[in-house]
Amino acid sequence: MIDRYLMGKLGEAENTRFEKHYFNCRSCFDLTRERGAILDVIKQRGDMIFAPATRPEAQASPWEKVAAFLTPRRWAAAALAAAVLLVVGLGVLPRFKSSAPEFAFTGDETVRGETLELLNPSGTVTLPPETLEWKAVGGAAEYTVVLTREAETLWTATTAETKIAFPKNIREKLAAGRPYRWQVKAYSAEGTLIAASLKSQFTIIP
Amino acid sequence: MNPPVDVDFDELIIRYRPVIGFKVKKALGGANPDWEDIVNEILMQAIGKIKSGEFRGESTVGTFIYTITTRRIVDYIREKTKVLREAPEVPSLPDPQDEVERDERAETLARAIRKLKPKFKDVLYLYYYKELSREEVARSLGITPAKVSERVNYAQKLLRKQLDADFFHFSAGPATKRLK
Repeated sequence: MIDRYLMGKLGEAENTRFEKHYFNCRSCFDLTRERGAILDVIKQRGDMIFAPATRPEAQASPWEKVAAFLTPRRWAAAALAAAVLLVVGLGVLPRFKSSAPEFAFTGDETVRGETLELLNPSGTVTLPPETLEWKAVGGAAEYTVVLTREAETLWTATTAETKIAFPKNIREKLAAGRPYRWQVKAYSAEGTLIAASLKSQFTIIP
Repeated sequence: MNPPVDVDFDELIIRYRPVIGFKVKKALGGANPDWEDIVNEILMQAIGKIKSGEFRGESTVGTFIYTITTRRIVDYIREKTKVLREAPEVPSLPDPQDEVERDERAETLARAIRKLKPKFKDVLYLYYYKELSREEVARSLGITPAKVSERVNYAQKLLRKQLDADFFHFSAGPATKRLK
């Protein structure tokens, strides 16, 4: 509940109930504030926190760590184990369908899998936007778009393109002065989630 | 009018300043330089209403202050929207000292997060940074949703242990004292 509140995922009534509660409950407020501090830092500095260490003095390279760990005996045992796994992997195990991509930080990647960048709309806009646009993700067969206001999902749609128009009935309901958030997720042809964007927010100036 | 409810106002300010500040900053953004003034206005209004007998004790003090807080926030947003429509506003700069303190606290926490084991960093990344649902995080990592929750909660505990306890008692305003 605390996390959903902090991430704006509670409905209006639930939100009010939660807030009234922590105005009356010191321990719940302390816990909410602690989690809020963590979430704020992750949101503001996530790119840096979850990026691989780039400074040479920050830590030993993976190869240095492996070299320090492996004695000659361990090298031999590791080589034998690798050979066994290779034989088993190639000759014995059935081929599995590809599952969710391996998550690993490599090079300049600060996200797992690929980055999904949202283009428009974002920030303050003078008119209700007509379309939502984002950058393509390699390997994506389709994208799912979700539009929310506070915790309420207003609209969700799927497309193979990197752009989608607001349906007329949704666009007409977009009100000035209220923040709307949207997020896009990319799926492979097998239906595996391969990338998700951060949520982008826009507000129509009254 | 009913006689005023007996309230220790010093205790009220100490108790509710951080809570009001948290709610105001969440509604307006922590970088909004007006938040402290609004917190002070809310506290003064609450104290004024209690002294004048307007607060009759029909609800808790916390609920009473919550109501004043939400109304003030709505009023502030209306005032700001009106100003923006009528004339462009020169943005006021945040207090440099506040910025430095905020940055230091954030850096301490960021360092602590970076030191977490990958399995805990992963869930924080996917659940908080990418805002995936518990089920999506579970599918991405090949674990159960219950395990996702367990790791998120445990990561929070680890961070609290690693950090100085005082870090989490940062004030929502300049004069907050630690309650006994």
